[in-house]
Amino acid sequence: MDIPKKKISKDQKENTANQQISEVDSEIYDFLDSELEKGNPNGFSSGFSKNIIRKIETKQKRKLNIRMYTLISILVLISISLLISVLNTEFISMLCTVFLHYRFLSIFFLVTVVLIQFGERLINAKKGIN
Amino acid sequence: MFDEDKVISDILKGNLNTFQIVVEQYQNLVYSILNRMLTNDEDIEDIGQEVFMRVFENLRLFKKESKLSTWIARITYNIAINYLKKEVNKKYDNLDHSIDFQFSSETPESRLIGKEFDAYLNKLIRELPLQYRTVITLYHLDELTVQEVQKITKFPEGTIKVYLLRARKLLKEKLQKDGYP
Repeated sequence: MDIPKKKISKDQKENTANQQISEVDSEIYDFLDSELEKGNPNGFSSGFSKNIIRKIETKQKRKLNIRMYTLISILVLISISLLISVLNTEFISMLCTVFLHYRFLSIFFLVTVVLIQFGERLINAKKGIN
Repeated sequence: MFDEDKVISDILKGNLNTFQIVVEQYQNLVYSILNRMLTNDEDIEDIGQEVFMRVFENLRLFKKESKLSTWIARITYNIAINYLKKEVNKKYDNLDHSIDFQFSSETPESRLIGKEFDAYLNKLIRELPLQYRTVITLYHLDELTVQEVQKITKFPEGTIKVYLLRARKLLKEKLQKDGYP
C-alpha cells in the first residue's frame, strides 16, 4: 500500500509487500505527501478562543439563572400550599373581598409593574443595539 | 509542556482559562478537518465553536482511552458528518459513486507554486468523495495513525487503507496529468 513513508513504521509496517511502486510514482507520491502534511495557513478568526469562552460563560450564567428561578418557584409553591393549609376559609374569603374592593388599585399597580419591566427591557435592548 | 491530565482536571474544576489554552492548542486541528470536510467556508467558524462547546460539555465523559487530540478530532468528525447529512444531504456521497469519481477542476493554465498550489490542492481534496477526503485529511494531520483514524471514523482499518490508497491515487493521477512535480 502506498501510504506515506514516514508513517509506515508507525503503522507497524503493514502491507509493505504492496509497496512496489515505480520511481516516477514514488516521486509524485513524495511530492504529494509533503504538500498534504503542510500545515493549513488559514484558520479560525483571531478572537475564536475568546468567543468560545464568552459563549460558555453565557451558557453557565443562563443555567445558574434557570436553577435559581426553579428553586424560587418551588419555594413559592411550597409557601403558598403551606399558607393555604394553615389559613381557614373565612380568612381567604376576607382576602378576596379586600382584593375586590381595591380591584382598580390592584390592577393599576400590576399594570404599572408590568409596564416598568417592559420599558426597562426596551431601553436595555436599544442600548445593546447602540 | 502540555500536560493533558492536569489540563483536564483543571477544566473539570471549572477553570476556563485552561480551556482557552486547549482551544488554542487544538483549533488548527479542528480547522483543518472542517476545512476539508465542509465545502462551505462560512459554516466552518460556527461549527468550530460547536465542536469546542461539545468538548467542554463532554470532557467529564472523556475516558482517556485515546489522546485528547484524537477525541477532539472524533467530535469534530461526528459534528461535520451530522452537519453534512442535515444541510447537504444531496451531496452526501454514496460510496458506490466514488468508483467513477472524476475531478471537475481543470488543469491550471500555468504551473502553480506556493500558496496558489496549496489552494489548488485543497480544492482538489474538497472535490474528493466525502469518505476519501475525510480519511486523507485525518491521516495526513500530524500524529494521526490509521488506528487513530479508525477510532475517529469507526471505519474498519482495511477500509481506511483502501480509501487512503484510492484518494492518494486519484490525487497523484490528477497532479501527474497537470504536469507535477
